[in-house]
Amino acid sequence: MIGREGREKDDVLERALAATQGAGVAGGEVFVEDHAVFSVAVADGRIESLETQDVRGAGLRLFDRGRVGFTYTSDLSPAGLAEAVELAKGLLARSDPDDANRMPETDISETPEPENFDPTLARVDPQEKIRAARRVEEAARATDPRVTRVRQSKYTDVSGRVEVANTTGLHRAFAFSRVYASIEVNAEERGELQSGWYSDFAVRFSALDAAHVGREAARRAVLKLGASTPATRRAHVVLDPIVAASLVESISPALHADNVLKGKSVFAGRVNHQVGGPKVTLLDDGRLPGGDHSAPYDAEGVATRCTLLIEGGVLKGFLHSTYTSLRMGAAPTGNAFRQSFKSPPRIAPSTLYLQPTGATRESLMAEASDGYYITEVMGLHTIDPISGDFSLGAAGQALKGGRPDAPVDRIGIAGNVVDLLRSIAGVATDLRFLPGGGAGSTTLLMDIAVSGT
Amino acid sequence: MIDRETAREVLQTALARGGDSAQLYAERTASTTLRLDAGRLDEAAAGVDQGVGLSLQEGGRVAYANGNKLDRESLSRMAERLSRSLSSPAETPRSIPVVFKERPLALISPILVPAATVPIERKVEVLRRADAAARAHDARVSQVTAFYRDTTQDVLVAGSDGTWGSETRQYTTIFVTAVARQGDEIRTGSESRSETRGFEFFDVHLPEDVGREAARLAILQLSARPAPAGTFTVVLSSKAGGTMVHEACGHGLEADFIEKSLSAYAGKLGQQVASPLVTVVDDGTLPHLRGSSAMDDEGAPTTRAVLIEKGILKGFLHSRKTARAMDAQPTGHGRRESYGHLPLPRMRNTIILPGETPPQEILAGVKEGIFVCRMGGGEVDVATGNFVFNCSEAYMIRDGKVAEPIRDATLIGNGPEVLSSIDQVGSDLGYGVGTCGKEGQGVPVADAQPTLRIPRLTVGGVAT
Repeated sequence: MIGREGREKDDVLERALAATQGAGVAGGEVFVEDHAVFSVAVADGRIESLETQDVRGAGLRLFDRGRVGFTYTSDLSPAGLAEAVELAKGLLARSDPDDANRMPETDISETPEPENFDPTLARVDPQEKIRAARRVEEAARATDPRVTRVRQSKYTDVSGRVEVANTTGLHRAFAFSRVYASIEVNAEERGELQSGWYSDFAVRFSALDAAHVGREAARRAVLKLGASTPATRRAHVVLDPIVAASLVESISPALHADNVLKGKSVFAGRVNHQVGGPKVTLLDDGRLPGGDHSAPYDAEGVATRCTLLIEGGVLKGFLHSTYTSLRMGAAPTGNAFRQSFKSPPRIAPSTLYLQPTGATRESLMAEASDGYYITEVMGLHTIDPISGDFSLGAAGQALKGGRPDAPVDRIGIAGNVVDLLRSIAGVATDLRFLPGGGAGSTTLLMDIAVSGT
Repeated sequence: MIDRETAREVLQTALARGGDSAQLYAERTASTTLRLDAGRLDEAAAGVDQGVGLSLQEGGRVAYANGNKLDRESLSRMAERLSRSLSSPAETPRSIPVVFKERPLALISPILVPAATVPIERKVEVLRRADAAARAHDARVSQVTAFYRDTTQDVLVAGSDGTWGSETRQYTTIFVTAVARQGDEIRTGSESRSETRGFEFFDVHLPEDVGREAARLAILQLSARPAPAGTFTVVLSSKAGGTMVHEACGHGLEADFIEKSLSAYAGKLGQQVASPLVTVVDDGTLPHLRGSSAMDDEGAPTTRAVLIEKGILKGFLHSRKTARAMDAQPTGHGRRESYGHLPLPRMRNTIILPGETPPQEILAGVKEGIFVCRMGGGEVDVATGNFVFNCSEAYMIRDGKVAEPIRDATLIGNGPEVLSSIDQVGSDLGYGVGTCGKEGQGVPVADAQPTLRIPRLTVGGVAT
């Protein structure tokens, strides 16, 4: 049906790099992304959509005496590239100079490269992939008879190649692949409807556990049936790994060195100071096996690595691009990312996660006693990235004597993500990777305001 | 982008081995993004992305292929592959006639000064003006980030049913974030304006006003106290934007959720779902609003869709697929982020129409409550109708008067319950803009509402 065979090899990178060299500026960088997507959505056992995508594009940066100009194009013909170079020259001329605007040179990382590509994916029969999407739905329906409706059960795979080169001689290329499964279901009981969503991913097709995704979404929907909103009070709160990962991810902007430089981080000037509880060790690892964002190189071609950000509650460092590492005189961390060839590199975490403290999910719940177990939050995108202030809608279960009890919804949890670092009393060893980056474990927060009726 | 002959050939190839209909979507999007951060133009990005998406419908199933190779040979290969992805493609190809019928489209948002004709210096100047005004507002403004973005999207839709439509949409956006500092306190304020307009946008939206507004909000947050936790009477000012209506009922009325009975509003057509004071429309035809365009991304002309009239559920937001499945008229709400995505029913400009109560009277009637002057982002669980929205400017109300500012308040409610409980609707109307996310696709939207009173909403604060 859809094949990746016959993908023509060409010399886009060389031609684009040559075009930047002919631009009459000091240096140039070319980023070329080439990827294919296959996706199938199933509901009620029937295929609703089959999607294939084949996209290629380039991002160019020109450098000259501290000035930078960025352009992108999906027209990789000689004329298209020439036009992009001209546009970049125009932007460069208007940008404000800064002598830390330089291109990285070739570096190496001691950490082994993570598994990042499944060479067998291209040979997997599309029918197999369709069966995977069906398996998600079947597992969800088989989990509980109250699962009555399926919005969409989806299988998606992405594979491709990223290449980056600059006129210092750096040239990095790597292939990547990811396979994803997701589903949204509704559970129904006595006229009440509740939804449950779940998603998981793997590098290899053979490692994707489609049935687990279905079961987990069903479990989440059914658990919420009969939920009520409790009275407002302060309580200990146990976050499930997905919620914990999302909250940890929202701390990230305060650790981006560009925000620190611009006075937009509460961590500015706090290196070697206590910023969290003694149980808080926060890492970002670009080569962690299993991370959705794991890759051998970042979007500037800098080798990725593991960066210690907070150790025992003490702030140790920040996430860097080439620019910020030069500006701050810090070691590079390989955290320049591009959402696609259309974005210039910006600082972002790879897999940001809290180091487990040796606790288990059960022991944390026992410690939380009569608190709450939070399995869902709403409004994550409204967290203020600079102040770290948050206020989220939440749902989950009330805890009774350290065990999950009645479901609760329409509750609110609020605070500041940086203050949360002081409330963390334990991190379990059930680290789970999130599709789209990030990772989290069951995490205990002490004494949080929980809004209700 | 693509001529009629090529489009016809591609559609015919796609349909050669079966299928009910085929549609070709072609897009060329040029954009310029400038960021003035800490007084420096530190990000200047521009470029062009173009691509096509070809869909082949077969019963309730759609096969979609997309990519960014636009030459005739690549397109015909894409169509050929698509034709073979049917459940049982015919051995012998057929030839289906395709005759395009071009219908004139209304010109909704005329562009006077196309972004491409404006030199970069003038675009940078806009940011410098916003930056200066924000900094001049108060000495405690410690940092300013100003974004400028223009996007010019040329869209062509050609369908085997004869659809042939094209238009150019231009979006101009300015977004300013001010950071205010006082001791260890660090607070932010943001203001964004965005319309379907050319560079003349800045004659209507002065960059200075945008910068000052961001600064005012940041300074206000310094003196605001943490929001209380609990349940309160809430007055939403018309200045607050329309995030509430977007989340509380807009998403739940998108027909893909209705078709599969996944929405709290499913099966309630003709029933009372809101207070008789509430009328909700979604109008894609209003000049220059961020969610407006002449046609949708499937070639259907945009309309003013009446969703709720005096509390009675009247209709839904349709894409081509849902209109066919539910035997309804298309409403022009089939939208996609880009050629890389299948269209979905999406909101455009969602509006609660004004009522008759003077806004001051609404405020004066509240003994203790929350006055929301500006809403930020929000989210909804369509199945239950439970939603949240964040407030970026809010105050306590005491004895009918606006009292101290509060910060970090997210309001939590249930769509049908909240809409039914609204007991006062003001005679005013105010607008907000945003980018709405659904299934990973972002589309530009606007929303609007009059001043409203909601007797009970949960406030997710910290002060218990």
